[in-house]
Amino acid sequence: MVHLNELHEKYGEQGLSVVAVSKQDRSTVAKFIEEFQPVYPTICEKSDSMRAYGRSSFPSAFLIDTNGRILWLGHPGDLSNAKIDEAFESTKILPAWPAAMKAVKKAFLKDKYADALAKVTKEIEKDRLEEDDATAAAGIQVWLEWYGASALEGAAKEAEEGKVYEAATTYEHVAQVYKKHGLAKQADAALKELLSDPDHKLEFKAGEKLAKIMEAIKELKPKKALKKLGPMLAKKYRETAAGKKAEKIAEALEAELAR
Amino acid sequence: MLLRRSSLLALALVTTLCLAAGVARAADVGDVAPEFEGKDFFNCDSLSLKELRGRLILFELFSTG
Repeated sequence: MVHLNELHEKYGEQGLSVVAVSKQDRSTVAKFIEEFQPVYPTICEKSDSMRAYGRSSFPSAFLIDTNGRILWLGHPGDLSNAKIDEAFESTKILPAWPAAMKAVKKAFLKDKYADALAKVTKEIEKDRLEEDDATAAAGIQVWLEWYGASALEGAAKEAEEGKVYEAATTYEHVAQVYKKHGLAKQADAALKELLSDPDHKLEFKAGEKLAKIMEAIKELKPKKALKKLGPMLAKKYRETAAGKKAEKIAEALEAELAR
Repeated sequence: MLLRRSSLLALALVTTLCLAAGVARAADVGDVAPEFEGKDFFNCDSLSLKELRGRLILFELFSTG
């Protein structure tokens, strides 16, 4: 807890949000807060994050990037400042939302980045914002433009590295959130080109299939999960990244069954 | 007493197996972080991972026991 308080103090203003979540009840967590005085948001959850994240021991920590992907995971005490510094270097932080940007924020949270960008640009052009709001609006505009371009760049790099499924899903994401914007057209074109290669198409299909299976087996016991995973182990997918991943998961499930 | 201890051991074993069943399907680096649903909030108003998008997040799962 002391470590998390320190990280909150050191990096909070720079753009790191520390959030702690527990499945325990309110009174238990309240006692914990009284004793350890965490200064960051601490939440009792309805959901079951230990299961959702597939973790087996407390505490477990995750460093999550600006678009919700896991950058690092492990024991919170093992998270180094160097890792956090590295994460900051490779990203851009979205400025805090001022009250005047309520409509922009709403569009953003609905995954309508192109709408958010159009709205914030309109607000800036009206030139009626208070100085602080205008600064935040300019930052938000820059972030929304940067994010799409950066995601496309990242996807191109992933495609070059052979991470076809990851690249394709990033292109799909950009096309979806920037609908009717030039970035969406770029993403659509890049996706089309990527999947014009039959091997890439198979990689993508395998990745999609595995993602669906993984979602479906989350709550299943190993025996049933293995059965669901079966199609991914077919010869057709054997050489794909998803097929190889499925094989490893099947081995782990078999090991669980044997225990 | 012995019965209670055996029950506790059995419970611990079941819990370990249940958690182990999830490990093979654990979230990994590069995966989208699953969202949580908060019930009681300390040091904040209602909050979700989605609302923090655009910031780096250090997300901790903890238990006091």
